[in-house]
Amino acid sequence: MILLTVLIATLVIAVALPVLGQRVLERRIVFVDLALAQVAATGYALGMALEVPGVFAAAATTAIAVVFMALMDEETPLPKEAVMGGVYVFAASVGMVLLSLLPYGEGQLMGLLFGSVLGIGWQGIGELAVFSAIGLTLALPEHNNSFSGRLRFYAGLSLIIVPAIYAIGVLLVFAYLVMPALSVWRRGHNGPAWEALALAILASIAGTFIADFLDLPPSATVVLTLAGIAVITGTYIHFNNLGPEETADDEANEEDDKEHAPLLPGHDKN
Amino acid sequence: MDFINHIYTTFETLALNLLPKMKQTNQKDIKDETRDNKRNQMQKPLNASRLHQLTIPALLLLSSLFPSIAIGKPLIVTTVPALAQIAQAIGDVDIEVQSLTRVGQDPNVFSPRPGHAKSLNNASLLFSVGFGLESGWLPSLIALSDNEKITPGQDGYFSGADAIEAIGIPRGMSSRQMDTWSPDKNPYWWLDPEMGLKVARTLAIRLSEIDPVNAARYMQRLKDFEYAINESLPRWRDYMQIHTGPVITYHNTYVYFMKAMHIELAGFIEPKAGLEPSTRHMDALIKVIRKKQVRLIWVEPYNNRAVARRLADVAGIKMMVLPDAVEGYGSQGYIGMFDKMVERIARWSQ
Repeated sequence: MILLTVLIATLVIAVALPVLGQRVLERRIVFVDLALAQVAATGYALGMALEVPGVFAAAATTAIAVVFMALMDEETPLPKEAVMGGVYVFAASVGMVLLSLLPYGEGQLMGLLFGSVLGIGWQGIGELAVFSAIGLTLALPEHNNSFSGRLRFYAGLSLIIVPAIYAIGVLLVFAYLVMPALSVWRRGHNGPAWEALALAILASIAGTFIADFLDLPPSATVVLTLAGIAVITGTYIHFNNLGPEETADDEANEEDDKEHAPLLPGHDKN
Repeated sequence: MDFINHIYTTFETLALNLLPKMKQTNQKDIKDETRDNKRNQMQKPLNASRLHQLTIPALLLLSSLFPSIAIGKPLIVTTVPALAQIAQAIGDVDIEVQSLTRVGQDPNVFSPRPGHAKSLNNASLLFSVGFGLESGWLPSLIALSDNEKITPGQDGYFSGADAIEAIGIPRGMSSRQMDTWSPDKNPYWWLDPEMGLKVARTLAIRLSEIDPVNAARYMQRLKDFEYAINESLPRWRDYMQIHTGPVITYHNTYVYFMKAMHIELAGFIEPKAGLEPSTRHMDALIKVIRKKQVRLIWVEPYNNRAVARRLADVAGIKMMVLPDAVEGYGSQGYIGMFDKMVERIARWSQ
C-alpha cells in the first residue's frame, strides 16, 4: 500500500520534472528550485510570525520572487546562477532569523522544507499531478524573452517545484530536475526529452523496488538509482559522441565553434 | 502579539547579558579615575568628581532596574525547559533560571546564538540532560562561554548522567533489527517523573554546595516536589491504564514516559534520529498495528508529521502530537506537563 503510493509519487515527478529540468539547465538557473523552495518556506515562517495563514504568505513571497526573477533578462550579462544562489541564501537567512524569534517555529519550517515521499497519500499525489499539469502547461511552451514570457515560465516552474518539495522533499525534486537532463546533455545542449524521461521513469521503478527489497530509505535510494543510471547513460553518450550532426543544427554549430575553438584549431575553415 | 513579545524578551535577555560587562568596565573606570585623580588632582579635580557623581547613581539606577543581578542569586542555565522547571522547583526564589531552548524546539538540533554564550558566562551551574542529547551544540557553547566553572568535571557542570542510569536504544529499528540494542543511551529521562525526581535530589545537593546559605530551603523544596510527584503518579497511571493500549511513536522520545506510565511500546517509525524509514518497515508497522490493536501514533512537536499521518491513515488509526515540554513555572509546570500529556492521550484515545 505504502510502496504503491511511493512508486506513483516518484513516477509523477519522473514525468513532470526532467523536461522542465532541460529548460532550467539550458538557462543555467539550476539554483532556481532551491531558491523558490526557500522563499516559500520563509514566506511560511513570515506568515506564522504575522499570524496570517502560512500557505497564503508562502504564495505571496513566492509570487514576489517570481516577479523579481522575471525582471531579469535572459541575455543578461549577470551570471544568473549567482543571482539564484543569492536569492536562496538571502531567503534562508531571513527564515532563520524569523524562526529564532518565533517559539514553536522550527519544526514546522523543517517539515515544510523536508517533505517525505513516505508521507504522501492518494490525495497528495492527485494535488501534485494537478499542480504539475498546470505548471508544465505554463512553463513548457517556448516563451519570448519578454517580461510576460519570463513571468509565465517562472510561474509555471514555481507551481511545480514548490508543491513538489513540500510533498516529497528537496532531495528527490532536485535530483529529478537536474540529473536526467544532465545525463542526456550533449555538445553543450539538451539531448532528446524522451531519453531524459525514460531514464527518470526507469529510476523511479527500479529505485522504489530496490529500497523496499533492501529495507532502505526510499528517497535516498531512488536518488542513488537515478544517479547510477544517469552516470551510465551520460558516459555512454559521451564516448559514443551521440547527438545531432554538427551541420544539422546551425545554431548548435555556432555555439560549438565558440566552445571548441581553442581545442580545434582550423575548425573555422568549415 | 506573541511575536512582538518575543522580540521584547530577546532584547531583554540581551540587555541582561550585556549588563555585567558594563558594570565591570564601570568599576574599572572608577579605579582608573581614582588613580588619575591622585596624579592630576591639581589639573582637573572638577572633571573627575563629576564623573564619580554620575557613575554611582547610574550604577544604582541600573541595579534597581535589574534586581536579580544586584542581589547576586546563583544563575542556573538549563538546556531544555523541563529541566528549568525542575531547577525552579528546587531553587524557586533563591536562584535565577534560564533555559537555552524553548518549548517546541528540538534539542537535538538547536543552533545557539551569541546571547546564549553570554548567559552561560554568568552561570553558576549548567544543568543539561546529558546522554548525548546536546552533544551537537553544547560543548562548543561551553567553550565560547569562557566560564571555567561550568566545564565538564567542574562543580558547575551538572547533567542527568550524574544522577541516573539511562535506558538504551535499539541498534536499528528497521524491520529486522528491532531487538538488538546499541550502546547509545536514550536521553529523554525528564519524561519519567520518577527519573525527574531522582535528578532533582542530586540537583538539590549540588545547589546546596554552591549556595550553602540556602541549603535547608533547597532540601525542604525537594521534599515538597517529591510529595507533589508521588501524589500525582498513581492518578496518571490509573488514567493511562484505562485509556491506552500499545502505542507507536515517531522517535524514541517517549520511551521513559511509557515505562513510567506502564504503556506498551509497539514500535518506532523513525529508524534512527533523522532517517527516513523504508517502505518495508512501514508495512511491518501496519502489521504490528493490526496484530496488537494499536490505536494511537505519537509524534514529537518538531518531527515530520506527514509520515506518521500517512501510516495512521493507511492503518485506520489516529495520530497525535504529544508535547515534550509545556510552559509553566517550577513544580507546577513540570507536573503540568504530565497532566497535559495524560489528558491529551486520554482525549485522543476516545
